[in-house]
Amino acid sequence: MASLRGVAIIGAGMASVSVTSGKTLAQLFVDAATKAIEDSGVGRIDSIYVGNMLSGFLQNQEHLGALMATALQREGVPTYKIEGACASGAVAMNAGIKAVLSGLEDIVLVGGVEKMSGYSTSEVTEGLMMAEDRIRVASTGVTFVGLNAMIAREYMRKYDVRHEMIAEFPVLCHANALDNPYAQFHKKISVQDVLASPLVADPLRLYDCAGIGDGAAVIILAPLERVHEFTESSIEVLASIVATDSLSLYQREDITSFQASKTASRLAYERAHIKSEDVDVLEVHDAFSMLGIMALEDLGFAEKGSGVRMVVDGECARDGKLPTNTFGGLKARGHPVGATGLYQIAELVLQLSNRSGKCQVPNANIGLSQSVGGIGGTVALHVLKRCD
Amino acid sequence: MILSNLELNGVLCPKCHWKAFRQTETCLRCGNSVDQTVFRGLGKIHTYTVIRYPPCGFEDESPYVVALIDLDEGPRIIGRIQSTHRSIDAGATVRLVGKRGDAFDFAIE
Repeated sequence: MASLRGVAIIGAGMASVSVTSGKTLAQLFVDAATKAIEDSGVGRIDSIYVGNMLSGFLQNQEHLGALMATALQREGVPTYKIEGACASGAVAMNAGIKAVLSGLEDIVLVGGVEKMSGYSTSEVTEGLMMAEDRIRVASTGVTFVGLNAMIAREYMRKYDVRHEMIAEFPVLCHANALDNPYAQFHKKISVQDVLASPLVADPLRLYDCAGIGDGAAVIILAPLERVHEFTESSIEVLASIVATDSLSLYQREDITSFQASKTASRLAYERAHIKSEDVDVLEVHDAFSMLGIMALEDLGFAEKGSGVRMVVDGECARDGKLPTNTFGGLKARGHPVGATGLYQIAELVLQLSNRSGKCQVPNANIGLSQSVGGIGGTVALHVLKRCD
Repeated sequence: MILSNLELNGVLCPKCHWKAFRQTETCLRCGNSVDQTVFRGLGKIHTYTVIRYPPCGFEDESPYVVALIDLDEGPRIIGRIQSTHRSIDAGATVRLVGKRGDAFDFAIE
């Protein structure tokens, strides 16, 4: 692998996550892409990768590659639409990185976009269930909240962890999002608020769950050897890993852990030549409170059953040992599903380049993002490093 | 309870005795070719949830219980637990009682 050229991130842009912007898919994408292109200073773009999950189901719109190339007035470039459920954006990032690694393309635009507002909860819930086995699982009427609730119930039983401890995760995320101008929610919440919110799928309650939102995030990639043409400081991609597990929970023996997260993190640390303790800032896929805690364990930061301790003890706070979800995570920044993986990466870019405003954490050199598709059937990890 | 047209088809490895509720021609554990088998439909609830915000098509049925069930023969399956006056909990014994579309319905024994 040593002969491969390095890949760098030279620009990032985000649209605000919201349900009230009224923007179309293309408008959301152009908003984020324009900011990323301006941030990078590039002129020519060699290719466009678009991560998205629900446009075909919700908007009756496919062919997003050409749609976005047209909206950006970049007709002529090759484009690719990538789908990996809620990890679509991070999987698109992996594809874009491989394009640069191949040497066939230099300046690559990778974007994620999702529009979820304007539909009933039942419609969005049905759309998200497309990430599961239609015949064996979706046929039961289970929802993604329900699948995660079954994990949470078993996790709490197996490790004797109480809901109020898991509820610390959304509390942390809401506190962090207060300083993020792009966040969907600017509202401080308490553990009591989580436990008093309505049940969605027992035992998970409303504030255990990320909401429905529209958004787009875009990254510009370039070969490391060409970075100096565009910027003085950049972010190097040390590892980009996509791993899979069996699609459905019933096919697994232990449902309190995502094997794909474990596999991906082992490969990511190996390829990046780092250990988990070298990570300075972390973004995990907390679509549900339980998943935030499980990620801390599956990625190697805590023993099984003890992830909650990191949050309760303040280790995951922005001034803690391992600042986590520093812009609010999926719970409070928002979770426009196909865009989420790229929001995480864009936020790491801001952290590593010391441009995070009030969200900035000190001494951030290495960042890790974890994006989960479905119920852990797909996991995409990225390890990024500041290079001065 | 008569289980007419109710069959939980799965596979059984004659060599290593691996059993699974899935369609495959080779054992995912030892690579041997597998035999078809039918599971009896008795098991225990591994974990469960109550769906209160259902997807389209299930609105009239909510709230309803969905569970992961460990069949007595070994494999795990996902299914609905029919509403009952009995309390539901992990470990409860359940029996296959019906099928709606592709989904299996169980009842607490």
